[in-house]
Amino acid sequence: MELFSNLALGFSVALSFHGLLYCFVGVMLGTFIGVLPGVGPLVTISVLLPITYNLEPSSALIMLAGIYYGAQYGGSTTAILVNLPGESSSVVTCLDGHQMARRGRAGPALAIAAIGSFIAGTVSNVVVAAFAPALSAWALNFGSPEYFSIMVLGLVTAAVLSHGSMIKAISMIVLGLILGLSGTDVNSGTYRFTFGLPELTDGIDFVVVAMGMFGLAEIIANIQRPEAREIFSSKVSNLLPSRADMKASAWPIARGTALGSILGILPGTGTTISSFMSYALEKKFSRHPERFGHGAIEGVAGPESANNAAAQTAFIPTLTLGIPHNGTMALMLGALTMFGIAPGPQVMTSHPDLFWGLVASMWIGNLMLLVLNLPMLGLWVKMLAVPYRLLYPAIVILSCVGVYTLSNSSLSVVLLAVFGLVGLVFVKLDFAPAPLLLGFILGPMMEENLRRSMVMSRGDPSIFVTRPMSVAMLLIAAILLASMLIPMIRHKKEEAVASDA
Amino acid sequence: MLKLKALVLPLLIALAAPAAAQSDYPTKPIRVVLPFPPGGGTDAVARLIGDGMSKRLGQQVLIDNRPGAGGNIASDLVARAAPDGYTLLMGFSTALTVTPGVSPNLTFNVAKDFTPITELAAGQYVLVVHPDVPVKNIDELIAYAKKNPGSLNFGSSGTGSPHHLAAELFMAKTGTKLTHLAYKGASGSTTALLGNEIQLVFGSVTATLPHIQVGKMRPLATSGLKRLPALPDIPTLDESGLKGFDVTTWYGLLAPAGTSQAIVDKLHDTAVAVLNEEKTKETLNSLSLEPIGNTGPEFGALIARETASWAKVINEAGIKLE
Repeated sequence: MELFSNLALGFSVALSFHGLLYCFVGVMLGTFIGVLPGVGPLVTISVLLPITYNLEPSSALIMLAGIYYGAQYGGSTTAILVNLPGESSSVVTCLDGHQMARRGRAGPALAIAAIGSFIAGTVSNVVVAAFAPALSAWALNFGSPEYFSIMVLGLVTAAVLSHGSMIKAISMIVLGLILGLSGTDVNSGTYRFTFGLPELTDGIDFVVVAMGMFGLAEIIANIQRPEAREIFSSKVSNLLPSRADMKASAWPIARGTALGSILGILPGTGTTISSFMSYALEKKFSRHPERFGHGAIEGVAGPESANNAAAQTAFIPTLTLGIPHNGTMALMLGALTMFGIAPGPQVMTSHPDLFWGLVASMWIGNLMLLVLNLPMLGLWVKMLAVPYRLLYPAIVILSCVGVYTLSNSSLSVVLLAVFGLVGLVFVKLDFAPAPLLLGFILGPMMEENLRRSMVMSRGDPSIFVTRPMSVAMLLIAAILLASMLIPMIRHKKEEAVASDA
Repeated sequence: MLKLKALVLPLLIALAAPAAAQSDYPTKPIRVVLPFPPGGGTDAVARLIGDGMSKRLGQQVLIDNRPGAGGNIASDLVARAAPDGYTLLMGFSTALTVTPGVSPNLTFNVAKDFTPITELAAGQYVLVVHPDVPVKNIDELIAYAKKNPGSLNFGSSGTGSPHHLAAELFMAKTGTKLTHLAYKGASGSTTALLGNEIQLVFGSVTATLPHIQVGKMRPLATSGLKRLPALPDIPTLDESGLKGFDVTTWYGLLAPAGTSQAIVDKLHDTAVAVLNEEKTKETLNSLSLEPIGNTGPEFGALIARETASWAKVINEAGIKLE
């Protein structure tokens, strides 16, 4: 079996002293910066890049990749503990993860996130090892119309995310879409809603909106309710998930892993959509959907597994085709260039030690993250016992520093404050911010793909229903929408009948 | 006496300071402002040259990524910085020659607000088609495009990007009609070409060469006046019948206008020395870039020349940008 000899080569690289050392350094650094709100892997990697020039190419790549997925891991910790999503994929983790923390169950939330991520990482790693070339060829069938349709499906799932009023959820999605319009229109190069500010010509950064609407808004809201501040420290129960927790999480982890592994291959969109979709899926499957949003462990286990699986399979297009789909991947490929290795489809055959070493090290890195983080649970949970007057000003300052580093712009800090205030208003009026964020992420991509599809078809909208994958996704979206609307209409009818009688 | 010394000494030091500052330059880290986020060609060149300059100048050269507004944010920042040699601009071709010309409410003037130091490196684009397109050279492409007007899609990384403008120039020179699909960033159009959503693209060498080597893209021509060393059998567009077609990409170092000549000279000489290092040449070569290292005035003339020629292409093609 070629696969086994390749994996043997990979593990020989990853288990060498240098492989292990740099993997460890990478995941530690990644976890650390992931925990810091707003500081992302892009900035860290760009600062560390010069150091890697003195390393072996495989060691450098192992370390940089470790930072990347370690950061995703650390981001979940911050999302659960203090409701600050530093990455688009951890928005969903905030929903139930932070609610669990508020109910004194931060330990089980963090543990299930770690366990789910590890299982998902293991399975998706096997997917990468066994099917990378085939999957990357399959992903090329995804053109602009398919992307548009999958985003329609994504937006429909956003409506499922919110508990409570459907109208409120839809209005938040629309508001998110509108916020996403700000920036340069990619088709015509026209500036929209930039208010003469050059900083806005690339649009508003997602992290600014997410941290403002979730984290800052929550912090301000807590000032008004002293009882909420004490809640964390007063009743911390056991640190590890109970048997019932594990049982409840098993299927969500499996479904999240499958969903994430598939969607991760789609460049640019996979990691975010997969966590949102996994959440929606769990809520649909659950016999008690009303528990979601109030600390349901399935709402942490599923999305966390999905986003970690997607983060691993997202390496497939980067490694097999040499095409980077975000700044972090571009930096990693840039590092290869500095070693005289041209990133591209031939890397897998010309430098098998690099490809298989990285694949093997990702699994080892995931194991390290689990082993490192489980003993640290107690420490993280204790952090919540730090008095409010000390902990939260520190978080606010770190958040400001973090968003400043996004593009070295002070406007980001001002916008963070603005979205904090807007988020506060929404908290008071009981509007959930998650649908807004999904609309904000998907809106610009959806528009770009819609308009490109229409140019491709020379203005004929039937392009979306004549391509098989596109029409399949639109059908799923329609069924999902109907499954939500019909009970609502029936409910209304019953109410009407009741009031008639 | 002691008192007098105490008074005079700081005064003398203060008087001597400006002169000392110039001959001792640099005495603190130098900041090089970049118009793009980390991870692209500009970033790679800046880090490579910055690293070499740090070693020679004995001061850290810091890379400061200030993306946004097609490069205007970085240009504006450097145009307004103190002309003391501690804030420099890493210039990229269209960010200096196209974007300012089409931006409203511009707060700086490329010709007046900068002192060009040197052009660091230059490269060109490769016109590639999807292997299913039944053409083997430029003549066949023109004939095919004329027979099927508008049926071929070309990709770009946004309206007004060099990939877009090169294709517009191609259409203007050949009288063909191609359909423009814009993507966010070069990775989008590379994927789209591999998936045959677009049929041709003026791509960077780094984005196309690996796929050319495995037969997933077919190169038809290169966009500069000289053949590309990595693709010696592929003719230039100029050779292929489009006389005078010359689209290159370049990276250069600029200082705010008013920087003293001594500092500009020191920066120029240091940058050129770095360019002459074997390691620099090798790395640039792996990025398919050619080291340049010309004089400041030569670099300034290049900016002026390309600004004028791009303005002509944009006008003639009727591209509307804001």
